[in-house]
Amino acid sequence: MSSIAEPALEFRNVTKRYGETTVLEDFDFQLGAGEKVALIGPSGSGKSTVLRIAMALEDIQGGTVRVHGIPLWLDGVAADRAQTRRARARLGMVFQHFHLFPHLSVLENLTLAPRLVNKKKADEAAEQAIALLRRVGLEDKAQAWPEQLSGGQKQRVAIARALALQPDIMLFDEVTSALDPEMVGEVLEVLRELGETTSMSMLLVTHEMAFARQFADRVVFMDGGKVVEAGPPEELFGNPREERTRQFLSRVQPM
Amino acid sequence: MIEFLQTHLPPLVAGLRVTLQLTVGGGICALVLAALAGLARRSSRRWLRWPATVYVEVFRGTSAMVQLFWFYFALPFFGVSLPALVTGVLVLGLNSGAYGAEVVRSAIDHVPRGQWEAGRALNLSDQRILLRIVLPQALPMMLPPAGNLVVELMKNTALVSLITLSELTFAAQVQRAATLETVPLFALTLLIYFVLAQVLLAGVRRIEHYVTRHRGSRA
Repeated sequence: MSSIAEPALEFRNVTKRYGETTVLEDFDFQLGAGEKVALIGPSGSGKSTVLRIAMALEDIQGGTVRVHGIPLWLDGVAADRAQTRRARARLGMVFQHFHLFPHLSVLENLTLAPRLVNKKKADEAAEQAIALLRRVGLEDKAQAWPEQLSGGQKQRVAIARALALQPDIMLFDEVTSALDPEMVGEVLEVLRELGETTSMSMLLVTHEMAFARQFADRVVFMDGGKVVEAGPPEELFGNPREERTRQFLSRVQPM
Repeated sequence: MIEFLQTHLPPLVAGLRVTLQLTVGGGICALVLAALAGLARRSSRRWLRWPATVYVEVFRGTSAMVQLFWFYFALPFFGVSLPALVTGVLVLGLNSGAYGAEVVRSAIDHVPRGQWEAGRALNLSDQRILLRIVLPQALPMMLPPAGNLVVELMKNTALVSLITLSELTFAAQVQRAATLETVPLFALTLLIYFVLAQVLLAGVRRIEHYVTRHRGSRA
């Protein structure tokens, strides 16, 4: 079923509405296997919705969504629970507001899903969790409670938690937007390290244009629930073709 | 004073025993009903949600005394005769369970939606998210209102004297009729209820302390 050419994520003719409001309309998008894509655009353009649909956190009203070939939606019909969980197993997601589990220690936050979902033994899960915490620079916080951490530390724990299930695709939903400015750097540094050392596919919704430019293989500009323009970062940032892209960029990165 | 206590305390303590039986029995009954109905009211399945809603609204919306009369005096006409103590436990449990169901439901609803989403993103099933992530966070929110309900239930046990059970209030009435020492007797009765309420609330606080122990770090 899976081949090298098969995309990590595939959206075809996806329509998403909240009541009367249309968020995505005939939305087409592909994330190549191993590709790192930054989704940019004004707020309300549907960027985060794309990630949430990929993780099956949202219903859609029409279209097809595939995760490594596994259909989540086929022409507007949802996959059954087993198939949804098979698709989710390929994905990891990091949220703007972290959503750490406050009643569990940092270590337990990382081991809960591997133990319950992947049936890992406690010591094995803990060992892996410590290794992940080391990777995000927080091995000394294993026994801490989430509330004892700074925002930047919480987000690094959240990243480690998502990695603990060894996903093929990572979804980052405005992961620095809720942080104090001085903590943005430490989280972006973790992303950069991940991007350089792994072959995971990554889809990143961000307002950090400088980081997107550096990090992404391809930048996708969305507005009004559609892809307006997509291309390599140098091209999209340096020489945008579309007027709407130019307008947006001039607003977010005043020269 | 000592003479007064020697005369009145034994019958009051006998009444207290019944009050305690009703409180504990009704409390257990209420706990089970509150958990089941509270969860059912949040279910996506209509056949679970509907009966739970009817139960909660009927028992919240009608008089506990009339419910008691129904179960004790009216049900026998339909061929169901229950002993007075069983009826008391059942009605008190059903009544507090209806309020408790709302406590359970509202506490679960107050756990941020992001917790569910984070759980789903980690590929946990909804049952596991409920059990391992949401309920542990909802439980501390449930306890203060649950403590109020338990005290309320204990005080409502006095209603059961109306269906021939001689619990604490009934025993006090009997003693008063026999001796006419109205003021000291009812003062003592109030004191017993008050102490009982304090004991129950202290118990709930202990549980609260236990379930929030992970926040020991919180200054």
